[in-house]
Amino acid sequence: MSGKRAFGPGVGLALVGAWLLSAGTVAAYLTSSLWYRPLKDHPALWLPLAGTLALGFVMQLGVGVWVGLRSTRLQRGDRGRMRLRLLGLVTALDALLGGALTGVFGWATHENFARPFTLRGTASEMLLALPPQFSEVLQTAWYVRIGWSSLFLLLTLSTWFLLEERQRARLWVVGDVLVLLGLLVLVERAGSGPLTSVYAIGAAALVFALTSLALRTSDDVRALAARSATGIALVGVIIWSFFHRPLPSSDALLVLGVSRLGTGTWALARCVARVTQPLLGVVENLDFRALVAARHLRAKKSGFLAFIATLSIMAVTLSTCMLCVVLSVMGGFRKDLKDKILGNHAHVVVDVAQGTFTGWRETLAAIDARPLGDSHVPGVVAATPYVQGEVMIGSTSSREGVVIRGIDTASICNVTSLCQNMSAERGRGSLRYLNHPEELLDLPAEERGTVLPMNMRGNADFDDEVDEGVMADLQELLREDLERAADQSEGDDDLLGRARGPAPEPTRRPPSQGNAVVEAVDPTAPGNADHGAEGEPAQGDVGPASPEERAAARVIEALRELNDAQAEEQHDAADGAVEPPGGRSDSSARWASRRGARDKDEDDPSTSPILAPSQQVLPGIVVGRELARSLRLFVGDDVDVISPFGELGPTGPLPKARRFRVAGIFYSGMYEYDMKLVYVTLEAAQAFLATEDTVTGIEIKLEDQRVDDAPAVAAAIRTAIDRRDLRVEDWQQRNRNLFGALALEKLAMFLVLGIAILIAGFCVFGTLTLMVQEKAREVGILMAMGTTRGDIVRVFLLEGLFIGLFGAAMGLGLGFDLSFGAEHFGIRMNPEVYYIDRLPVHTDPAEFALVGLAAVAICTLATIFPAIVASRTSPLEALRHE
Amino acid sequence: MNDPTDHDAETPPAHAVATPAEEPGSIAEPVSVSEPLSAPEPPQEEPSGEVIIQVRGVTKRFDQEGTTVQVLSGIDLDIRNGEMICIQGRSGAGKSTLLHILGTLDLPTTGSVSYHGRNVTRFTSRELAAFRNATIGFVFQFHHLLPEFDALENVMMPGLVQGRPRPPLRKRARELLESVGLGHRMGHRPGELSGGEQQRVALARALVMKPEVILADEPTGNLDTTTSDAMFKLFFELNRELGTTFVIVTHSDDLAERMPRRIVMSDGLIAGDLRRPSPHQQPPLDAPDHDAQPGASLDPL
Repeated sequence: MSGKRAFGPGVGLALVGAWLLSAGTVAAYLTSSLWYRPLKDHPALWLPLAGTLALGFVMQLGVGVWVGLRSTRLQRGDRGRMRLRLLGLVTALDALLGGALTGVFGWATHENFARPFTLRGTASEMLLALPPQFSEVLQTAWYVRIGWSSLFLLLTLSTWFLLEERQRARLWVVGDVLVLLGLLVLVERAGSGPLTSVYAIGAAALVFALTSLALRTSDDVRALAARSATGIALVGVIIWSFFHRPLPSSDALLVLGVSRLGTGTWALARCVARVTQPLLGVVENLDFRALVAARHLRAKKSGFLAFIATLSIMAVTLSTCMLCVVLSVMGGFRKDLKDKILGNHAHVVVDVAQGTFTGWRETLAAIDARPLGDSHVPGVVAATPYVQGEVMIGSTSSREGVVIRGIDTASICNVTSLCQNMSAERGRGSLRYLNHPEELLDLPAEERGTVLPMNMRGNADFDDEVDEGVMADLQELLREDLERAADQSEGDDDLLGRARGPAPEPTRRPPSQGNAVVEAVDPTAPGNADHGAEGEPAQGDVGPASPEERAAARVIEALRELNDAQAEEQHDAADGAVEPPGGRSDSSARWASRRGARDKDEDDPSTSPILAPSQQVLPGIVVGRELARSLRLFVGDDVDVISPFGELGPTGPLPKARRFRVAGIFYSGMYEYDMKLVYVTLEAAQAFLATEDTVTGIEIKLEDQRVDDAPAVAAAIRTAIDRRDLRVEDWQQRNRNLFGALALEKLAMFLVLGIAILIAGFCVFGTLTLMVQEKAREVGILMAMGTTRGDIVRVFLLEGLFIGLFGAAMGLGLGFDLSFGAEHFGIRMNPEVYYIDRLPVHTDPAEFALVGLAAVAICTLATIFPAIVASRTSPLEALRHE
Repeated sequence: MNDPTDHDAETPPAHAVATPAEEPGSIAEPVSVSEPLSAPEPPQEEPSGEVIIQVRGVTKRFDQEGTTVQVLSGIDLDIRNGEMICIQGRSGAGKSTLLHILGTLDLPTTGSVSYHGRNVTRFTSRELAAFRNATIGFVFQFHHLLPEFDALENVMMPGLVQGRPRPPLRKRARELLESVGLGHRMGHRPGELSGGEQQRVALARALVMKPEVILADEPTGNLDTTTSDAMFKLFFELNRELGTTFVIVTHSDDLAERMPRRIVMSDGLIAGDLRRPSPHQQPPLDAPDHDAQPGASLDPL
């Protein structure tokens, strides 16, 4: 008791101040990347910031000394004496160390602002930029300080319980108000959409605060219910705000978004914690059994049991949370896979067991005649025929076995996501080129896909030896060049203008395209028919054209005039400098080899028949990204497609080859498809595969809401086409193995992690057994008062149920929170390893409900035995001895 | 003061609450059951009240690890309505066991216990629970309050067990607590009450269902003399005003001597059944000369 006297409100306030300061400095360190850049832009902020920091440290020092001095008043054996002394010491030392370090650090960063700014700007990175003799010492010191601060935080936390309960309650109120205010700000800052939810949270929080303050001591059921209801409403409003005003997904707002999610979670947890007591109060009023059970759980007296009950709730929480998260991630993988499969394949396929079938037009019309009339099988969105065969595809570099598909370009995009997969952000080219291959002859460079899409950057195949920084520099240079070119495009007489401006298009792009320059400056171009192959990994499809030659020659002339003496180096430099814009982003090694090849080509321009550029119009072909990568293909390149089944020769079928031109590159996200599927027009495929007017099958897309109902629609289609020889298979049937394996894996995971819940159930079992032991006397009293055995069983079952409900609710909430965060902000993965760039997460409400039910059921089941044991208690035995 | 719903909610024993009437003069009249003094008859050798508990040939044997302990070896006892009985005897004489059997907390090995002619030893455990709840109030030596509940809730508990509506129950519990002098400590948990206060809460709890019989097992065993005197005074008042039958096991001769009927047990048998001539005419504790006439009116059999 004497300990409490040393603990007036003053010390409490001082402690709070110390906590805030320590948390503040740690937070400032963690978020240094946030405030660092603004500081660079606004040097005037330096002084106030430094002043605030200095004041903070001085205050912290004062608090530490004061707490240390006050702690000497405590006598030996008083509670918290050691803690307070340590806290005072640690606070003071932390202030000294932190102040000194921050000062040095501030000075160092200030010095650093003069330097080129290349780092992201976290504190430790800035330290790395210092002279080494400083940076090592400072780095170590910072790590010491982080460890020190953690100790400090732990110590301050341990002093929390030294405060009186009333003080703690007040601090909680203040803290909760602050958290809610912070949440309001974050919802406003880190969110998009209407602001209604901000006002809703504000209003709900106000009402909640008023009711919980006004009705603090009331026992009235209605008051308790009102308190619970406003608390639950606040919880609902906070959750609603996340949907109503969604989190930002841009990386720039990542910190804000994560803060909002974290603050929201904390606020929710606090609301739930605040609601628990009144809610239990309401529960107590329901029924005598609920009253006893809730009171047992609420009992503060038996701290041991309360602690164990907390542990059981935590066990349930953690296990449900873990199960939910894992299931969500597995569900994410499944959904990812399903989307990709459904995107690249139709939902229902009509085909024959072997070969192709005739009369497909009638079948197609029977399924979906909308292009002509109106009749279609209900649920069908579109249908498209295809011819399929297995072929080899070859470029200059290598050959691959692939599946070739002849598609109807008019309808394919209604059925599969091929078009989206070829869109600019995923792939290259266009299906249009399949029907109009002549356009491929006249393709702008960006259309050709020679500027790599972002997700292909850093690819080992393409630019393994190209330094990222160099690439960046090069691109920067390119941009400057282009700007200059644009500026000077009028002044044609200018040397550069001549070189970069309206120079005739060497790569057959329309003149006046800004980046035409890029190719134009290629010093090796003049007279070289293969000049386009310079940056072109595959081969030059560029034919020698006399205006181009002249243009190239002019450019080279201009360059020579610029720097005659170092012509060769200059060429190389120019070569390097302008390479990436066209994005002909090969590694330097490949440049070198190219150069070698070019030299050879100069001797004999038509060494390889494949390399030889062709000006003739070739049918188009669409390949997958992986295949393009493997064969080093770009849009406009030529490929040879070889079918093993050609005409019958004397020794059997002779292979048949035909040349196609790459009309597009798609990225489906499924490695198998990106590697193994190529598309040509239906007619081209029919001609090449010699199937005449037959098709392999018809692909059908269903309405979104009928996708999971595919078997039923498939049956309807079967009836509609009325052909015995055709198979109608839905996507589930076609991918049964894959999805079966996934389902099995998920089930196994559910069982394995369900064991975690089971173990939590053991924990509940132990808790309840102890509870029963401890409450044996009370059970005896209750029975003496006329409680039946059944009631006793129910009391303890209810306790297990409450533990399960509470734990499951928290676990589900936390699990949803983590899944939501992972889904929203994305956990990055190496796409080279996993073929996906973010961890796919898909939360399924049904799964969550199942997990919650399982948790509650296991907890309730775990209490059956202890409950029965409790009901067997003889009142006499229980009452006989104190 | 009389709340009609309060009465409706109960299932009072047949004899109780004949006329709920205002009793303005009564000092300890907070209890709404206030029954007209039901034992006004002059005390006699054979009191006149109806026999409510009939114990016939009750024996109790405990088998413990092969040895058999005969605790009760044939008890016959009639307890009349409104009686105040104390059971005395040395440790191991079987007093507590008899009390437990009377309270249906324990079953006799042989013999029967009948309340109003109904043999409760044949009741199912559910019937017993309901019977105990309605008919018997217990007061234990160690008070046995529920530590998680405050005084008021503890008093309400038997009614809560029955699933009675809470507002009238709370009202009655409040009145009872006031009548035992604890009106100011209703919100306190047992841990915050003194021993005497706890025992008074336990008594209020025993009374809340207006039981016919209150069985008390050394109710003052843990209390100092003054407190236990006050306790007994309370017992007498309640007996006088409510007509509740009390069966009290006690070690204290001093207190036992003031009881109208003393049953002395020895070796599992009733060794003596003594009646004082006029329990009600004698003010229980306010006469200082009580101690001066110990056993004067107690004739050993």
